Amino acid sequence: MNILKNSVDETIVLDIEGRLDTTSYPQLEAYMGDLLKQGATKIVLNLSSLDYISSSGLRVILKTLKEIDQKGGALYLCGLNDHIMEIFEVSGFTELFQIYSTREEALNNIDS
Amino acid sequence: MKYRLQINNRISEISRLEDLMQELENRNNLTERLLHEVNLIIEELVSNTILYGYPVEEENKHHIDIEIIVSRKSLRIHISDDAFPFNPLESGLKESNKAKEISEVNVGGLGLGLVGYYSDEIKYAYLQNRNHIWIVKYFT
Repeated sequence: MNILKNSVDETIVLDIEGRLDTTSYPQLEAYMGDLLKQGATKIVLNLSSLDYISSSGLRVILKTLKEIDQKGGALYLCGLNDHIMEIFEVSGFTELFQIYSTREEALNNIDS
Repeated sequence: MKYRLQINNRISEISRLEDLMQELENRNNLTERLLHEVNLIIEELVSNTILYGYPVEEENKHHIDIEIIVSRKSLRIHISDDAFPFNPLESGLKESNKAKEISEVNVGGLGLGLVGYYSDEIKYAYLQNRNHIWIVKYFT
């Protein structure tokens, strides 16, 4: 799994590439933990290059949502392919996250 | 066709599933979606066994056997291990997780919930000190 970071104003955009599974989730967990410690309050996770996700990946994304929510921040998701969107739906996660089709749409809808 | 993989009870061993999936993909005309679902089912069950099925000091000392049989109408998965007896069918395999609030989300059953969703048939038995789970996915 690769994580590519960009910033747009105060928003951090992370492009997650590859597989987010039982072996790779610690990498994202550590990365997100560092971002939150550094004070990030608006994060967009761009999953358009994510090929595969399992429950471990769902958990680390949820953990980030809980932590950023407690800080009054926001986590947005975008670019989910059909299969990954289905996994989010089956897991009840589509009701918890703000999910957009594209990176641009997510950035345009971020609350100021 | 039959495919077999034996892994040790160590989380890093889960990456070896990719080799199994690659072999499945190379030798069969299976859709990418189906391969992902099979990968997900196996990863969720096997990681559950590795994380919770053995004492910590027993890491990497046991084997988990995975077998996949592909026929004209279905794909059958058989996973067996010598971990603590655990019947996933009694652990909310079919429960959904439709929480409305972040605080309500039960992360404990996420993986098994996905297994239940993506499997057409599931059977479990504890035989000769081994857990056995059989899963069938029918080709539509």
